[in-house]
Amino acid sequence: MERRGFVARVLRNGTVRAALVLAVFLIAWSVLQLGGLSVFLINSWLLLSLPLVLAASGVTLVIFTGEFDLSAAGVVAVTNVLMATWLSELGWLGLPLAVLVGAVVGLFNGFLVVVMRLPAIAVTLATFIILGGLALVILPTPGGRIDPGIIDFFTGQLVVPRSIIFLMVIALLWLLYRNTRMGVHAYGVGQDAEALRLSGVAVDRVKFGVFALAGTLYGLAGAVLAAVVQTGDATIGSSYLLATFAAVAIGGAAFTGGSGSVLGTMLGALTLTVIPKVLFVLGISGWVQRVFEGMLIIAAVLVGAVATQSEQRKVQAVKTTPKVEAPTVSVSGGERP
Amino acid sequence: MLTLSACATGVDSGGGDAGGGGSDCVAEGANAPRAGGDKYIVYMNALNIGNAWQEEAANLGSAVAKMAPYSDCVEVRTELTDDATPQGQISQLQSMVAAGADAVVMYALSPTALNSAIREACSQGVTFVSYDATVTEPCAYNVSYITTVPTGAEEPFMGFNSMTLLAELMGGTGDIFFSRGIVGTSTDNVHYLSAMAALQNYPDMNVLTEYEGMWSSPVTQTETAAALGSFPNVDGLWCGYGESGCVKALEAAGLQVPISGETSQYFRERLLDGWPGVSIGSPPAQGGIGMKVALAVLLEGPDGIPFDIEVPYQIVTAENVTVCVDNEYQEGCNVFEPGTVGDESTADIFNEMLPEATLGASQTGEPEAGAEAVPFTASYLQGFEQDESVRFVTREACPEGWTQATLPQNVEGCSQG
Repeated sequence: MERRGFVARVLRNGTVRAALVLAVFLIAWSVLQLGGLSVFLINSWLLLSLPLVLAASGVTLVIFTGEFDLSAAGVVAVTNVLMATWLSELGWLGLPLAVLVGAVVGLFNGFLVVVMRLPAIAVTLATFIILGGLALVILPTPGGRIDPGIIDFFTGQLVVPRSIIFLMVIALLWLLYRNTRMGVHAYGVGQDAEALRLSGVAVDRVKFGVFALAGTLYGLAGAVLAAVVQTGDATIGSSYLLATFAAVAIGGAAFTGGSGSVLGTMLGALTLTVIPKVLFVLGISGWVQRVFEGMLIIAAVLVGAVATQSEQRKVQAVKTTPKVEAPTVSVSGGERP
Repeated sequence: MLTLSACATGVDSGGGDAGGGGSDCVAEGANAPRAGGDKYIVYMNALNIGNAWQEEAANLGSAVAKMAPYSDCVEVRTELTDDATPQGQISQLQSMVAAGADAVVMYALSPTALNSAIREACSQGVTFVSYDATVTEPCAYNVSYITTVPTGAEEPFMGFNSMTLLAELMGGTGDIFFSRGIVGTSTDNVHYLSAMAALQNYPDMNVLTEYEGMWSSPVTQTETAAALGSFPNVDGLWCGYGESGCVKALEAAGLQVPISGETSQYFRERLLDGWPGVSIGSPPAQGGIGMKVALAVLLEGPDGIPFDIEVPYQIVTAENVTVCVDNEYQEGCNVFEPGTVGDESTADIFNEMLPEATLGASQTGEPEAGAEAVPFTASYLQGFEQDESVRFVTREACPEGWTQATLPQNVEGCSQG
């Protein structure tokens, strides 16, 4: 019984679940890969994952607040083509400008959602469509030129591959953010916005800031993607529309808001990009891959739900048993900030 | 340069494994199979997007590599790209190289995004061939119809020729719909720009509406039906791949107006019935031809083999549409026997560069029993080398001594002097 309780507690943590899933795939990949895993292979995988990690992290921040953001794919498309066209001649300055474009889109989303009180799904879907069209206007066919310094900055080596360093920096920034006032309040908004408002927190300002921060991450994702593929392509961002949410789901964040971790999402994104590698060495391709990814998402959500319900039943049982002191267990349905 | 006479010439190819030293067409030393086996590993790639063209191209490539004399020399592995994004394809290419690929024949989703991964593959001794869609990386071989002058025509580009022929069918006057493929891809852009250039020659023609058919028959049908709702008096349609959707939408509306479309069986059967139209488009034979180019480089060595190869293709109208009797290749045939294959199949699996093609091979990826391939030689392929004037279209660069210039078909190309 003790062991079952421990397992349920562990599985209730979305980040741990995501880490376990990723570990399984990594072990399978390392065992099955001809000649084992080389630094090149690992670096290539992490580099291709980095834009998805960034974009999915932004989506996660918005989801924590109980809102949705579908604009990530559009921002990635626009900033990717901007990096290959108008910004390519500006050298290093192109990078912060691309990020700024993302932030401006985030502010635009935030304005329409928070100030104008429009539904986030409709607003961000519209933003995605508009930006997808704009990207095609800016760069009708794939091509352009990415500044070599920026390519080297993201894809080069600094004792260890820089992709590893960037992932660690993102994780560190997340750990810092979640303990800031804005980070804590963002969780609170997702759990009970009204209660937070009554306690004096400027809920709208929190949401506004989160949309802007998410946009910033999408902009950075587009710039990194441009450096990784070394070209601009207006259609390249479209895959992030669903992949970001798949990463969030595998990472264990609650789509209802107020629960989850960017670390989990990062692991979810890494899992999504390692799955094709594992299926490749297993000789599996085609539709099976998508079926597999879909089933994995369902399994991830299901395990989390079962573990949470098991914990809730236990708490309920303790509460209804007389003369037993109730343990202090969070029943918020997911991970605490 | 390898000395791989058995495979290269097709003579006495049945040697098989020579006592641990590998097949007699497999080199040793620096040119030995990268994975260390007794056969070269060749990957055949296509997109897994529910598109009959992609399936036929991949099957033809796989089937050819399984024919004698290649079958003793190579092991072909078919890999479909399910994650149809450049990032997914980069990841897949890297996996192929890591798995010991000696050659990769790929439908490249982006002309530029795969370049660094292709460069890395080339540096490890992997032969890379892109078919139909081209890439700008110089170490890659491009095998494509995109800049070819169609048989019997005088100008390059499918879009230019198809629009010109549509205009002639319409008597040079009238209003048309323009159904594009996937906007944002380089192939669609070349089709579109060159078709619009042709339209400039017919001032009495007008585009009523453009829409994105996504190279999908159902999408094209839906979009065409919607356009017909707004413009029921349309005089003609220019349709990219998925043109059977254009025909079906017109049939549902009870209209029969001239259509320029690609190569589907459904469309060509309508041409057999006398529907006014022109059928011209990308031949899936390119998958098999791309494979033969890769095997020529791998087994014969790269000397003399052009990096830019143009695949021939034909123009089919109601006047020259001809049934392939018993669904077998005969010179000049261009449609399967009506009712024997699916709507989206195409007799353009047959091509003068791929006489080995059969309907069965295009459907299963397996050759007919006893089928033999006719290997390419460098001198034969030189006869299909791309004209320098259109090099910029596929490489975004001009050959030495040429400078970038806009071609009469409104596409960026190269000129001398």
